[in-house]
Amino acid sequence: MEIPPPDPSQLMQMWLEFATKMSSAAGNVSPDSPPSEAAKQMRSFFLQSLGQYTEQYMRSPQYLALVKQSMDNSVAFRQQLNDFMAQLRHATGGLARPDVDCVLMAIRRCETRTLDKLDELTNQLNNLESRLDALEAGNTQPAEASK
Amino acid sequence: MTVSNAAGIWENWLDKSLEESVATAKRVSRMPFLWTHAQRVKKGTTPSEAVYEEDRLKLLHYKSAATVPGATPLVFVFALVNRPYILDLKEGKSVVSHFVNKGFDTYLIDWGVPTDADRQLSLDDYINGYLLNVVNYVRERTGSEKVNLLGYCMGGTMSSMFTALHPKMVKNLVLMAAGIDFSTRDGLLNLWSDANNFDVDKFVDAFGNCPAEFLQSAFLMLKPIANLIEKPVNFYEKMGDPDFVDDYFTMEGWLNDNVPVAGETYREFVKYLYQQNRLVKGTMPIGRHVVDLKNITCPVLNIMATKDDLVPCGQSLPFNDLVSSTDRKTIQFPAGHIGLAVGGKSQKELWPNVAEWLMERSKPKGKPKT
Repeated sequence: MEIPPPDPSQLMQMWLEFATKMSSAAGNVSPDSPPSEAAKQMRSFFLQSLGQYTEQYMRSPQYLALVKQSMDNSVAFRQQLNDFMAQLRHATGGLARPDVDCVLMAIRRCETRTLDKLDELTNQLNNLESRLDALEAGNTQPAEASK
Repeated sequence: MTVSNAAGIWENWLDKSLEESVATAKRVSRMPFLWTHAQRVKKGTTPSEAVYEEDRLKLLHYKSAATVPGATPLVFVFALVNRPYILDLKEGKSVVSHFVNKGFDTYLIDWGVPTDADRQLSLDDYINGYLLNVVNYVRERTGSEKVNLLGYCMGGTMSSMFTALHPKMVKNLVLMAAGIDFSTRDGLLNLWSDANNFDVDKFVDAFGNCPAEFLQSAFLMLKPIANLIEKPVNFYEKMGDPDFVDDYFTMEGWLNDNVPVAGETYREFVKYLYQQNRLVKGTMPIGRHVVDLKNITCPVLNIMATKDDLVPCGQSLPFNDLVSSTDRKTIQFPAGHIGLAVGGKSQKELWPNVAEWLMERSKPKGKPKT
């Protein structure tokens, strides 16, 4: 995948903002204020600008493409490693992750079928109960009417 | 500028420089003791015991001196991505203690750390399995027909799904920075998780569980300058303050205590919520059920943090319009995602009010104030 080139205007914007903030910080420095306070203020403005620019950059298509590419690479590497380990374990007569997954999937399917069956039985039981209730109501009504 | 003035300024600068040098020397002298200090940090402050265990899950019960008789018990549902002791971090920074002191019979779910064998666990297993079992256990233990649920972050999303699927079991629902509407792209996490940028199927197929380190680095990268530069610099400057150092190590200890997320759960959460936004659309599948938030009729309190990078307000705000509850309230509190729980302001101003709101609705035969 081709990563689009970075947008130079974003970098320009960051430095412009940084320079503006630094000059305003320098304007606030008085000869009486301790040196550490002035330095802290300038540092804070610098980091603020850098933080804003970083967030902007992390939203850019360039960064997203870069992340996608590195994720794809690490997933491909991991997949290769998994395949290699599975082959190695099979070659030595052992069990690999895909084998365990197959067993787990089989248990899951079994569980789903059992639960479906239980649901079906519950529905049948509910139907029977409601029919019984209706029958009982039907039996008591004529008796009450005859009284 | 006169000569005496210039001399005064020079002296002032010299004094301040000397002060700074002494402070630096103090910091350096403290460095050898930092490691032992970090080792002494305690996790959790309110006395508790594990009363229920299932697989890796532990249900903690907090001991209370005076529980209000008949009040609905409270269950905290934490996210699957971190450890739950953030809700009871240390004295003065504990959400749990507010509810325990108010007289609630309080429980907290510690989901534990999933291993490779747990990679097939899905949201259905967590919500209709573990959480349902916990709620049933608490109902049986306390004799209460219903429980109160308080869900934080991902735990809030799961609590809302549970309440929609089992509305008769929940008396009141409190959500704390819970993601509900994932259509917003305000947060970087939402943008990075977009289907165009992240193939979650390939990722889970290759890695099994979602590794803790992957989550940790993603959270760090949400604010790289603040996390990687400002935080260490700030620590260096305040290293002489033992209270600050203690708070710092407690927080950092928790932040670096990430746990992996079961593969299937991670796949479902990213695919169905971050990428397809199914909870809001009413098509969120949980096992053989579909979650319909309209089934929620109990009182709802939706708390969100205005400076949250992880779950921006826009992600939580629509919840109250999606439920059928008539008693519903939203609180937008000026804090970050973690500050909402442990911040000094939220400890003083937010949690006492939330505990009061919940107690009004939890007392037997109690009527909520209008």
